Amino acid sequence: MDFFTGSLLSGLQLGSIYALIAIGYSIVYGILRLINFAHGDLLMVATYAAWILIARSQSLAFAVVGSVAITIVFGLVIERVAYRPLRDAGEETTLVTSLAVSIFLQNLFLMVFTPKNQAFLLPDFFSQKILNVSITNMSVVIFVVTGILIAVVSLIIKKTKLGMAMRACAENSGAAKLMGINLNGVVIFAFVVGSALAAVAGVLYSGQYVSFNPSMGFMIGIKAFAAAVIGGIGSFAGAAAGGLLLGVLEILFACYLPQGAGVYQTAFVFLVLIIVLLVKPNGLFGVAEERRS
Amino acid sequence: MLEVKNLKVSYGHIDAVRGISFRVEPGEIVSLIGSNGAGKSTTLRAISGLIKSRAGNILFEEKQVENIPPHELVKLGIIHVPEGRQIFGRLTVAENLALGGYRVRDKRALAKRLQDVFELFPILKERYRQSAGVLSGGEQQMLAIGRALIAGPKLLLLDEPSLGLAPIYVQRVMDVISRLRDRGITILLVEQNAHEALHISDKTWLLENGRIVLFGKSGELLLDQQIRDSYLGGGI
Amino acid sequence: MAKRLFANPLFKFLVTVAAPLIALFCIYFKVAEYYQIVVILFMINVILTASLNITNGFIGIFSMGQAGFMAIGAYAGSLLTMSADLKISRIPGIPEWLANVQLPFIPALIIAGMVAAAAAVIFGFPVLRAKGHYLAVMTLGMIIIIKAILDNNSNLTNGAKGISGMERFSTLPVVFAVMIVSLFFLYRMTKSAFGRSMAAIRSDADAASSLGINATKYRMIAFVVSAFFGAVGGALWAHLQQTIAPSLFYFSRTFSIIEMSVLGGMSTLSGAFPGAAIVTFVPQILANFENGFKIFGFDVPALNGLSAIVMSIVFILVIIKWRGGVTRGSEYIVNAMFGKDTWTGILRKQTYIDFWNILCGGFKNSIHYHPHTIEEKEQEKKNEQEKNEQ
Repeated sequence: MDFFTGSLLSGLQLGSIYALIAIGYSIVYGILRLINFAHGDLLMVATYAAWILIARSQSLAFAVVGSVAITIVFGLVIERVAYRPLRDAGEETTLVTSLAVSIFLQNLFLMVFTPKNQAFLLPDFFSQKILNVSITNMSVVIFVVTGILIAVVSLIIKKTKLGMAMRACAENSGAAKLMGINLNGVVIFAFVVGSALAAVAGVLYSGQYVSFNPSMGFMIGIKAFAAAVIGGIGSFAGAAAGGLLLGVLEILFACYLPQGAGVYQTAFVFLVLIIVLLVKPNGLFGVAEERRS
Repeated sequence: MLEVKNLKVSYGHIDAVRGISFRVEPGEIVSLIGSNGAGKSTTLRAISGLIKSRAGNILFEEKQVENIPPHELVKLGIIHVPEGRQIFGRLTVAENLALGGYRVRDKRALAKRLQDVFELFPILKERYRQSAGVLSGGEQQMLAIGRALIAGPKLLLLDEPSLGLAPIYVQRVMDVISRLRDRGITILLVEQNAHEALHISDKTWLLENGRIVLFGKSGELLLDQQIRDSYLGGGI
Repeated sequence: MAKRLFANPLFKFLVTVAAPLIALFCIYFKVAEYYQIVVILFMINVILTASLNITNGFIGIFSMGQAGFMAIGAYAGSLLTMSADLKISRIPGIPEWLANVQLPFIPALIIAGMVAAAAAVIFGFPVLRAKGHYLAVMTLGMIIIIKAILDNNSNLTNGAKGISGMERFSTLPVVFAVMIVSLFFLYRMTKSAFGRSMAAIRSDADAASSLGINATKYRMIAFVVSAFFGAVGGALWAHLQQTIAPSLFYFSRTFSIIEMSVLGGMSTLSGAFPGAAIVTFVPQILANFENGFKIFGFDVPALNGLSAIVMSIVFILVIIKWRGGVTRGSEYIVNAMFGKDTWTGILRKQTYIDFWNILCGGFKNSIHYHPHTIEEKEQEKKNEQEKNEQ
């Protein structure tokens, strides 16, 4: 496989993970108009949870399920304690509160686990390569899992009653309430889905890139958020597309511009974000939002 | 069926509704009329739970329902068709109607009501699979009412159904409202179009600046000179 | 009685001018070096917070990028005050023109502020086109970009390792003077016609435009002013800590400043005082519980966690319960410090008489019955007369 294809694949891999996180951002933003900076940190929570559970139980499956559950609990507690009381507050207020929650989470785990980089080691199976092509099993797992999850969530949103309620709330929460929809219930569901996706993304990311520490989630979250906005936040397809696009761009940028690699990476992401927002204020696939009560 | 006692609603420091009281008997059409900003829509929104009241009681079928969240009131049969229709433009007509039945458990009742709605508003059957955003203003009003009917309302709150509609649609909407009353649905109608409201309703309460200034049988009020001058443009 | 007391110019003078001055005097000459640093830090934080309140509270641009301007001020200020030898030894590869520039502290502060102001103009063009939380996110992008630039230009900045060795120019009197001058400038700005326009733009930019206020221009001006003073704060900070690095001006720093702004009340300048006080002194108290002696301001990760956790919880609680912060929109402190009322009031004899009366009246109150209404006063007078006649 040549260098370009290899980079492309790496990019899509990273992009898939971004997509999962971006979808979580999008779902919550669509309903609450809330940018949840703490969302990325749920990744980190899931990783630590899985890491501990693997060490205790020796079972990968149990660890994954357990970490998803734990992450969902974190997500729901945050919603109830920090966001629900601010339901009618301005968007900047909720944004800055989510930053506070993020700092809280990071420092909490920092205090408990120290800033030391840990290694998330999976069974050898994952690092084995398929046939003669340079794709590891891990990569395949990432693509497959992401694909399945995106398909499942997409189905839930488009075909189920709850998904329809979510779309209604996203468009007009006042009218949705008049249909008998319980907004709090829908919000809880959105946080459950978003947290679960973030948890899976966390396990996949750490499985692939191995090293993790308490601050990892925040930066990844920020990039995934940028991806969601670029794709059009509030739009499910936009978030997924934005995630993939950003992953590819980021890896290609790092591979082909050696002297700027790493350090300029995040800055590059934000530059793309700023440019996209200037040209298309609602993102590439976004829908224009009207302010409504 | 509905009794409002001394209702007071404020938006922050602004008192929108300053202590109003009225009743709606089962099977009646009652209208609340008044100029812009009189507090009519606010009253409806307090009844349906969208906003909290500052003081006063709202009794539905003898039970106190003030400050109960909207989704609970839907379960009780209070269905509010909001101002400006507010249908979900990004969803299809089918999905909008399905959302009307969000709280309805009985599948057969749902199916029957859907047929009813198609009978009342054939256009909705035509456009069933289309996105609701492409409907015209009048069609959207039909959808909004149809959506409310699927919920099986006992008390239907209609907020300015004729607003922004072409005269022919206004007539059709008023026709539909009459037919709904004939089916036994109690209706509380808020209208800026005092003429239509007085013609169609049994009783009318007139709001001005958050207070009730006049009320009575709609037929009698239609003949009242003061109303004719202020709200009906004078003349006969 | 309390209301009358607070309105009395002498009271205002004593509380906001005399007492702090005396306190600072004592601190400067009597208190140990370590504690002085905390007080100096507090004053720097007041400047930083006030500068943020201009955008976030007064004109309604919610910026999360103040740490970026602080960074620019810190670096520009340091590069301007350090000697050529020092720069050459600390920053390998530094260009000659930069090495040879050396200015006294105050001019360096001003130039550092102007550099940040220029950056604000450049960033302002894209950033200020957005609104609401999108704008806030763009300001975060600004911090990221500034840090990337600082990390990557080692010949100018020594990269991620940072620079140390600048002189401790931020002494208590100097910082105090800069704080007073800065606050006075901002105070005059908010009380001017420009200030009223800012309030109009904050409530409704479109309506303001229709009244002839050039919202775009004013927003840029506010943004630039905020950047200027943010940089001044940064330069002062650099010359207190005597070591700077790009990582010190990132998300936790910007959040700290926002914290101070929100906790104190972001729509006022006065809010800077309680806000900065809470965020400067509380972690300091907490730090003593964590682990003995530590110079405040250094982000020593492992142990700093506790204060960050506590502060973020406090922040969330305050923002849920008291959105207006501690001051709740009251500009009392700053008005008392700089207001004409205070300074002309203390020149009038009546002020002192009133002050004395209020105090005595208050004292009497706690012992005697004090008539409130006119009728009661008449009755009291009658009773007194009757008593005298007997």
